[in-house]
Amino acid sequence: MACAVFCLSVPAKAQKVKKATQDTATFVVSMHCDNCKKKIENTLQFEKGVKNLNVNLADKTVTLVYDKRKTTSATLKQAIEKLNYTVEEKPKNTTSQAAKPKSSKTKRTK
Amino acid sequence: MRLCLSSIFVIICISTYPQNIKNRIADVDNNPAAFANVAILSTDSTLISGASADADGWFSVTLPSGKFVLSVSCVGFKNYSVECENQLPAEIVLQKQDVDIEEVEVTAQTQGQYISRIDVRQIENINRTGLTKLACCTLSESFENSGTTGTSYSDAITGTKQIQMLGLSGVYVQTLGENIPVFRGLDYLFGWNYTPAAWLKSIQISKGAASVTSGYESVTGQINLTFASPAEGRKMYIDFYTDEYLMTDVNAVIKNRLSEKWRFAAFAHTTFSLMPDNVEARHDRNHDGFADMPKVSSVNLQGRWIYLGDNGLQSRFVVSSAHELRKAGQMRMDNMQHELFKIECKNTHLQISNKTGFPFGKKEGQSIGIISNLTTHKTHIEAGKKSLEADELYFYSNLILNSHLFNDKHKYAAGVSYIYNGVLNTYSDSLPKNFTPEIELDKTENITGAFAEYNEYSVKNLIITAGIRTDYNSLYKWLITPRFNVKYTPTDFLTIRATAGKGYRSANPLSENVGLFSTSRQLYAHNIPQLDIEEAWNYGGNIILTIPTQTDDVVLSLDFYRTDFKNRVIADIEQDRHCALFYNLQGHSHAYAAQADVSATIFEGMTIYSAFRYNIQHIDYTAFNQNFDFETPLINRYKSLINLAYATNMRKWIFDATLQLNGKCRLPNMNGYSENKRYSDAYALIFAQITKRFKYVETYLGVENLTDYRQKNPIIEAENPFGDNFDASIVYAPIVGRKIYFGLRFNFGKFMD
Repeated sequence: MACAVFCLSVPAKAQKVKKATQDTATFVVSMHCDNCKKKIENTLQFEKGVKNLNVNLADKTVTLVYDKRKTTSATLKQAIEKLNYTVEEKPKNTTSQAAKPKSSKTKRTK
Repeated sequence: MRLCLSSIFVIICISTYPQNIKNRIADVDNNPAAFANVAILSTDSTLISGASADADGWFSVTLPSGKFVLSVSCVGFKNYSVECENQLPAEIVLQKQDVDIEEVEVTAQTQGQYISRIDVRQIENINRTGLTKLACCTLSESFENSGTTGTSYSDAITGTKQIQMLGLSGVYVQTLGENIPVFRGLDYLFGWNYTPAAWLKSIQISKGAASVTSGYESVTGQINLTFASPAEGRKMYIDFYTDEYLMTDVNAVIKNRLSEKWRFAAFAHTTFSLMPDNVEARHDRNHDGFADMPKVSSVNLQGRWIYLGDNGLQSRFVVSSAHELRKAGQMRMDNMQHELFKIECKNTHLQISNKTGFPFGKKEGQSIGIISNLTTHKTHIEAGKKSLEADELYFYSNLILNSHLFNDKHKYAAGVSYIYNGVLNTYSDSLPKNFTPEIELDKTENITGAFAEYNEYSVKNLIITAGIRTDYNSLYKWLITPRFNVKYTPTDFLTIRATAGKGYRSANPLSENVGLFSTSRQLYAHNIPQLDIEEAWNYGGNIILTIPTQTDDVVLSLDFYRTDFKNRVIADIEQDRHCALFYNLQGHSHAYAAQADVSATIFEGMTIYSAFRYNIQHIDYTAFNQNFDFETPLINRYKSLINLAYATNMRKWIFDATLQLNGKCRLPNMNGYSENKRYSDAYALIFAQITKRFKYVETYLGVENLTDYRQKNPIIEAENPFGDNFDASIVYAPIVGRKIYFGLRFNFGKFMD
């Protein structure tokens, strides 16, 4: 039952690229704690051109929606690297999988 | 088991030669375990070589010949360790770890407060988001948005607020600052008013029986304050707040990594008024001649040192000092017949504490914790003709062994504690009608205690906690404190809790009823040494329903608690309007509190939190061996609140609005017990705030009490403060009306780790 609800909710929560000028990039980042997540969120949300952002600690992914005219995925990658993390960009075809719901709440508590 | 799983997987790469080897780490679904840490250890656990996996789980490592141990760690997975000979296992498969606790906290960041589903106790957590929804200069103001606790006013003059929980005064809540008792004894009232919310990371409010490990003092629950950590966030934090009355607050937090093992955080807070003295008239909107709010000036400093040693030793040192001066009272009198009624409260507080923990013995997860704390507190109150000089010395020490029987499904904590608490009150009243020359009230307690608490996790979905402590108090003799908690989670969507427990508290009736100083009443202080320790049972339960929806979970929480007093210190102001009597409970006293909370996400970015609490409290007054049952005065029958919060994409703009409804309360009788009951009006308060976040600065603009609701004539006979009937202690609603405020919060410097 829960699973069904969750599955239905995925498309609603996936981050949409609204305009032609926007693009999505997903990075696998060597973060390991909640503090890392906050650090990345606080820095990247004010990075030029970033329109939306989703940091998933369980999957170690950072998914960004950005304005192509203002920044590039390479610049964003550098911005995360500046925080002393190892960063690898995930190939585009897997981004739909990476743009998971904001929270991992689907893994429920006991 | 692991080997079994490994064998399912196809062998990818094995080299038979003891040299540089490449291998991959994956989970049971063959997803890569990205950036896992790999260590090759000799059989006596010395490190031979190490490596880090890449994003796809691949790593290469140099292998020794012969036997070695492969150890792999990765967040979200259980640690993996296997003994090998000459070669690596065919496939390294990590088992997912239960990281639910972290996840719940992470997901709840957009909600300012939420009720934990993890803990055996019912805990409402107020995080940074919750603490910044209101101006929250002081801690007592942080609870306006909480359903569990309420705030009340001690009197119409000093502007001090106190908290309430389960329909009882905040004195029955034990407050801990990172597990060390704080805001107790003389500090109970003022601590809440001079500790800034800006220093805190979060507040945990737990209802019902608390852990026996922190002493017998908790009756209705426990509040734990977690301070900003030196290992998190940016290096510097500074904030600035001011309101339309020019009351100004400045806070600063600086974090520093002193060395590999030492971390440090310094906290500073100051409050002052920028209002020039000649425009003070603006402070008296109800024209009773008394200032509506006090002039407060305070300086509060704290240093926190953390030492993280080898082999798991951790030690924390805290040094903190606070000075607060509040001046209030009459500003003018139409016919200058006599002097003005002035109030001055001065508090000086000093605290030094240490908390040390280290692994102990051979059992994994077994540790010893030692807490020691020394607090001195000085309160000086001059109110009209009344005066109180109070000194307290409090020493608290606690030694706890945390361990388990058989395995970590059967945990226990056991230990011993020693407390010294000495309070000296010097009270006098020179008002001719109730002339009381200086009397000294000396109370010294030496408390030695032992405790044990057992936590059972072996039955699936069930946690049982049972604790007992025995204390020998030099004043009140033997005190036995049993406490019990159980949590059952039959499905993912339902959490059920039950609790029962006992608590004791030694009262300080003068400093806890500071409102009485703003009256002409004669305080029967000479009765205070005959008062016994307060003793109460608390029972309750809680049900949490979690309903998953498209956007987020809807969480519904229901709870009910009852507190039954075996003894209670009564401050009786209803027998006679000209005096306040202090005596032990002769009859019955109990309190009920029932609460429902709902939190939900309406659509992305928009959250709602709503709470409704109904509470009623009864007390038996005693006169001439006869008991008189009354509903306790000045406790609002209900509190209801609705908080709507909207945050734009990435929380760059945040909008908050709270509607608070406060139910009627019974007003104290002024002409003896037989008088007809009188009730206050119910009233609503609206709070609203807009926050804009930039990279290094946040700015906010808000309003408190938007509809400008004020209690009419809060001071009885304000025109004659030295007369027989003067009373400013009957307050149930705000005295200060609408207040517009503005503030800035700066976060800069590098991130700490």
